[in-house]
Amino acid sequence: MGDLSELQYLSVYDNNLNGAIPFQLSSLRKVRYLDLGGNFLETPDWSKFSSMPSLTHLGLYLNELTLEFPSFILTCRNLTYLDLSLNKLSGLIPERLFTNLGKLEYLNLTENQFQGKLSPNVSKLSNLIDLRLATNKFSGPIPGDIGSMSNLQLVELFNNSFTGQIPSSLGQLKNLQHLDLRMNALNYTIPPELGLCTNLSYLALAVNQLSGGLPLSLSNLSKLNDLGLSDNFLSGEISANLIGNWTELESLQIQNNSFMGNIPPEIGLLTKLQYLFLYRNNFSGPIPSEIEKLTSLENLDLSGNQLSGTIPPTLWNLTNLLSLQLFSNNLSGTIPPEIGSMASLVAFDVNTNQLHGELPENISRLVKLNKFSVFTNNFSGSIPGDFGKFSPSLINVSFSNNSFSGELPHELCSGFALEELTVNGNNFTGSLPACLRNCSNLNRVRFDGNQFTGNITKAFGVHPRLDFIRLSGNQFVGEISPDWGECRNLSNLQLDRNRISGGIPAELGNLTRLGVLSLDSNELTGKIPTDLGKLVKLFNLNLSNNHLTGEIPKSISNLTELAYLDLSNNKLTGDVPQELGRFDKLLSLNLSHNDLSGEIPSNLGNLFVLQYMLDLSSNSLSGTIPQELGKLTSLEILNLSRNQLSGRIPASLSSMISLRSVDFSDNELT
Amino acid sequence: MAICRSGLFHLLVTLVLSNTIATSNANVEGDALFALRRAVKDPQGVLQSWDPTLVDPCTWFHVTCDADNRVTRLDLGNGKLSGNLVPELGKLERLQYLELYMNNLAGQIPKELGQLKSLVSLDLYHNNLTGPIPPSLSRLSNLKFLDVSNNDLCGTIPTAGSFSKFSEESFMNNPRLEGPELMGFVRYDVGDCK
Repeated sequence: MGDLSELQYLSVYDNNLNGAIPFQLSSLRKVRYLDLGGNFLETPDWSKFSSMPSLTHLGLYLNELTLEFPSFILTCRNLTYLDLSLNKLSGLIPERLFTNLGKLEYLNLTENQFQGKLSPNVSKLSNLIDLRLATNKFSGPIPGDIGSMSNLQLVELFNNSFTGQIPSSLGQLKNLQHLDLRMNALNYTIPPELGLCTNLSYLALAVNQLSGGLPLSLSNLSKLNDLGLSDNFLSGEISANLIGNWTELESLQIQNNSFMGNIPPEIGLLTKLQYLFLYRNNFSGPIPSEIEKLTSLENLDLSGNQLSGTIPPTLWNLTNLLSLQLFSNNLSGTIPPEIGSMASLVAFDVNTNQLHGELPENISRLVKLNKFSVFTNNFSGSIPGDFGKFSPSLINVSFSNNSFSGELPHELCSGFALEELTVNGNNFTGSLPACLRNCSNLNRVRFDGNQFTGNITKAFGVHPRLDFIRLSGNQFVGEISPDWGECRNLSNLQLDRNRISGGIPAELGNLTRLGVLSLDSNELTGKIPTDLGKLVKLFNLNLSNNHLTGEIPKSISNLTELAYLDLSNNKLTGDVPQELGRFDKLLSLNLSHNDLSGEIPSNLGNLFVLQYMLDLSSNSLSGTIPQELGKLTSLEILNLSRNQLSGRIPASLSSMISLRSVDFSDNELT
Repeated sequence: MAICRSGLFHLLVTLVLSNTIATSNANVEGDALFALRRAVKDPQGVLQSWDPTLVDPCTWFHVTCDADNRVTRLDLGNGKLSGNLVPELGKLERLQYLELYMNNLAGQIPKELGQLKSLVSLDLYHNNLTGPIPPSLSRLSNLKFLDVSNNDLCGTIPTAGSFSKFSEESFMNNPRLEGPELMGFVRYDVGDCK
């Protein structure tokens, strides 16, 4: 390669070249343009490289270069373009870069591991147009000397550890178009001098520790396309005068700050806006109706503020909207039929407001809808019967905590794409949509607290991603299908307070991620399967208020995470297993109202964190009260009543200093 | 063919700077508990289910709510949690049981716990808590059970209000704890207690 002495232009980018860069390349005395980018080249011994005085363009980006800044580059004094980005170079930037390469116009060191401070001598690169140092480990302040680099058009310092103030000298950069200082630790206020950079089209200061208000001088930045100030500690109001001239703005993102006051109606002047994110601030007052003028708007997120009043009727004219997030505000009023004109709508979330009325039929027309969430409002009436029928992409639907009634739309899950369906806390009736069985992506399901009837035996199928399901507090009938045992991701299964019958399938023992199993208050029969002992992560097991028979399986002793165990109000027989004494996390134990016999195991005294309850009442327990129970110093409620216990109440029980309620009545104690 | 990442960086960064959709709602108690989650290290994933995007924290594991979906119990004993308690815990107005015993929690007991007017049981024993026992806790008129033993607390033990009924077992094994505060006398210099 090194013998091609007349070569002026060599470009081998985007290949599979590997190995160390051969030093012979540097003997190509006439090469002006060298692009080795996009390969797998490794660091050579740079000391073998001779100087390349003709070189003006050097690209070594996207390779496997490691170790320090290549020293031979510092001798290439005619370089105008240097790109070392996307490598694994580390160490400090040598000062000689700034003193030797005075002709540099483009410097790109993005995405390496360079560290240390950015030297004030950077200003010696007086011809620099593009300065790209993003995604490294630079620290210390941004040197004010940058302000003298009057040719700068683009400065990218994002994703480093720069500290201190944004230098006010940046205001001297009349040619600056693109300034990205995101993801650093910059603090103090935004300098008003930035308002002098009137050619700025892109200004990104997000994810820093900036405070104070927005200087009014920023209103002079009439060429701004993109303004990103999110995730800082900025405060104050957004005044009409500030934003009125930003008529080229396409993206305004100021979320996660402490801005307050009203959203100015002049927001309507920003007719090119595609993204408007004001979420998680302290904005108050109404959503201005002028918002209808933002005809290009695709993403509107005003959530997490204190906005009040009704949603302006004009807002529904924004027919290009993809995402409308208004949740967590104080909005009132209704959702009108005009929502149907938002044909492109993908995400709609108005949860946690004071909206009321019925959902309009037209929501069924939103064919692109992924997410529809109206929870925690005062909505009423039925869900429109066709909702979901024409929206096969529905992934996330929530109606929870309203006053909805009637049945769930039969084709709610027609696309079988549902991942989250939560309708708890309403007055829904009837049965579940048949399509639920085939929604193999289901992750979280809540139907609790309604008046569903209908048979659950086959309402669900095998849902490998299902994590949480709660059907509690309805009138579901049918049986617990063994298919639940195939939902291997389940951590929470709650079917309590229904009319479910049949047995507890042993297949539930396959749910090794299960933390909560509530089957209480149903009509379950048969025995507690031994396989439930395989549920080693279970911390809450409630099978109470059923018709379960047989003994408490010994395998239950494997459930070492148990904190709450309630088997009360069944027809269980046999002993209280002494293995229960091993549960060193048990907080509450209720075996009352069964037909248990035998003695109270003395090692129940080892349940040393037992706190809320020990209830063995209404059984046929005999023998004496073990004095070891005196070790339960955190226990508040002890109920051994209605048994056949004999002997004396042990004196040791006086050490149960937390006891608030004790019942030994209806025994044969002396 | 080298992986075609090269194109991305030679484009100007696209319009959308950080389009993460907002992810939490205004549930005060959920936010308070989530502040705790962020302040602790949780190697066993005890708090893994604590998802702040949910309607309230009542389905979070180890959180118990009443019929109004207000948090009444927090059962995080023996959870291998480290890190600090947070003042936001004081917002849980209906909390009755705050069970954080047998963890590796450090830092101080937030004085804001004195706002937990429904608190019945406060168990912080067996941690690495430092600093004083906030006197505000003695205003908790429902407090029946207190155990801060086995920590590194300092200063004096409040004796007013609900604290009058707690015995020394509630405070033992805090080597720097000085003893009951003396009422009506010149206060001890507790300058060392931070």
